[in-house]
Amino acid sequence: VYNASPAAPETTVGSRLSIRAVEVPGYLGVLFHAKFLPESRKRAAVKFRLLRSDQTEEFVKEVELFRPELRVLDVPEVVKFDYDSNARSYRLDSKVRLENAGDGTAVLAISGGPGEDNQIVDPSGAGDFQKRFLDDLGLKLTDLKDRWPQHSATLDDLIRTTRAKHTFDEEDLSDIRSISVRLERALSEDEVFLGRFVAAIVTSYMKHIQLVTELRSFMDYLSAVGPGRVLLWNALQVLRHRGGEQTVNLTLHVTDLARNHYDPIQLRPIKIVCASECEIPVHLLIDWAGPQAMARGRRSRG
Amino acid sequence: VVDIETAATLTSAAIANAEKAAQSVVRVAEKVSEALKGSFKIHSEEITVRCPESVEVVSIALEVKAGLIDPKIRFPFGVPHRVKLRSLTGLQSASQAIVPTADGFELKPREMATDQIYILDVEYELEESHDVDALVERTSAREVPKGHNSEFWMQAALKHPKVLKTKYGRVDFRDLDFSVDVGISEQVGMVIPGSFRHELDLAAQLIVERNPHAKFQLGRRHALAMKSRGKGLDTAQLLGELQDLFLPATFANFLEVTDDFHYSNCYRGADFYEIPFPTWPRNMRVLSRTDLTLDHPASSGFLRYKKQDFLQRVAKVLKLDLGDVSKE
Repeated sequence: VYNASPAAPETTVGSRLSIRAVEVPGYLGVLFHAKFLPESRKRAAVKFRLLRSDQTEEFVKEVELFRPELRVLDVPEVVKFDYDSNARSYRLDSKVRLENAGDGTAVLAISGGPGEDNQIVDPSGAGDFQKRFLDDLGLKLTDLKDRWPQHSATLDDLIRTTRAKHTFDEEDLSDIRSISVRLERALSEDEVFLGRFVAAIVTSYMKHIQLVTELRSFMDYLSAVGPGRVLLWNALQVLRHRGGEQTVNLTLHVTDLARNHYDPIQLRPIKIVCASECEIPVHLLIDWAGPQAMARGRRSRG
Repeated sequence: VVDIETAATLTSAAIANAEKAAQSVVRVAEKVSEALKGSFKIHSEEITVRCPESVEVVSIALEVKAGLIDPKIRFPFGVPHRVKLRSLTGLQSASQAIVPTADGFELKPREMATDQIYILDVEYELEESHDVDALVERTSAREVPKGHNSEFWMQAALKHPKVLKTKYGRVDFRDLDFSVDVGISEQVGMVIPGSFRHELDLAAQLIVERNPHAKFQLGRRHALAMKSRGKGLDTAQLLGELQDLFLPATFANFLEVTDDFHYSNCYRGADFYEIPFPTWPRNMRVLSRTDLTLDHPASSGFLRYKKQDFLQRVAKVLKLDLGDVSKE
């Protein structure tokens, strides 16, 4: 509670909070923390009653609480994967069908279970740019650490986490949350640092960019975004397939923009059939349902 | 249900934090004020925190005392960014009374008239440990529910104004920054048709292909894909045009900041989710600013993102008819 006078402490009866005096006239700040609600969207109302000696004024403040709600609509038992090496195109006869039924953005990472058949890894060869970019960025951020030693640990943690595999469990999210908060604070408190940080990213990128990278990067960017507000964190990764039949166990790890924890969703085993050894991009395994997806489908055909 | 004991504990902890933060802001001002007291009569004191530069300006209205005074007064509290002394009448500079030193500055009262009020402005860098968040609550919408206009609310308030009031005559916060991430990747993804994705894919393959026959075949398919899009820019030029939309000067056209806030800047998002795609932003981070003072202790406003206009621009670059797909 902000601007409430400590000299006249608050009291409460049930869910009613009474504040008897403010420090300076004109406003009162009350910060609420929402619990994780079963509904993915809810309108919450807080009733305020302003008591003066001669009159009572009542008003209601409403707030929209919302979050993502990832639903699994269909998990195929068997997926047939064809890779046309001439056209360099992929074709899957069925996919895992997902929907974000909530209003909030879902950040999704897909992991494989233990064992050889479930390896979700960086694509072979294609990761060169990513590696060179991150190596170069690491060097540039080291220069920043010399000038801003107070942000040294934050920058180290940032580099570490961009290379890490994310499961969005409580521990992982708390790590991401801590880095994000520290980075955000450092960037917002010092515009020179912000400028140098953004410049480090852009120059590292420009140094290694080629037209093919630009084209691929834009396609990867599009692949990482699903309709209905979904960001696929590891869209660039691939499922390694040894050829023939392979049964994979996939788990969906979800968080939101407030970095809340959601229970991971374990999909039933999927048999993936492929004629030869190949790498299947993670984003290809997913089909997004929803009005936007349908609209996009219509447009593609048109 | 309000858990009052938790709330009370949190509030008292927050007040203690605010006091500590206020102390770090007023510490140097108190030293300046203390040094002046022997030779000057102090009329008023105020501190303005200029948030973008992390600078505090200590402003003191003072008058030279009559009688025996020190020939110079030392202020060895660190080298200030700037020191200004001017008389209140006529606002004439009295810079001859200021002498910079290795560890701060000196003031020579004998260079100042005894019957005039002066304003001394000293700009110091804020202590590294300063914590504006302990003094100010800043909250804004992370995103907007589907189907709503893209209006992100922003609110700022002094948490415990009494702390600032009792520590010093007046403490103002100028240009407090507010960052709001406006998600754009989904909208870009939504309007890019499958045919253009196919064209990009072919272009990327064409560049790396070494086999002359395969290169010829790919070239034909790419030319066909470009032709189906109609006349206009080639693939690389189109991507360049799209990139231009994310330049601050261009993207600012799709933003409007209202009420107690004003627009300051925007840039490509720089958070955790951006690193894998350094040139294609998932978010644009928009910086707005507001002032908080003891007379205006709370600010409220909106950042309006003109999503439809942005989508229209993307569609114009790609020569698309948006139809109804842009409605979310």
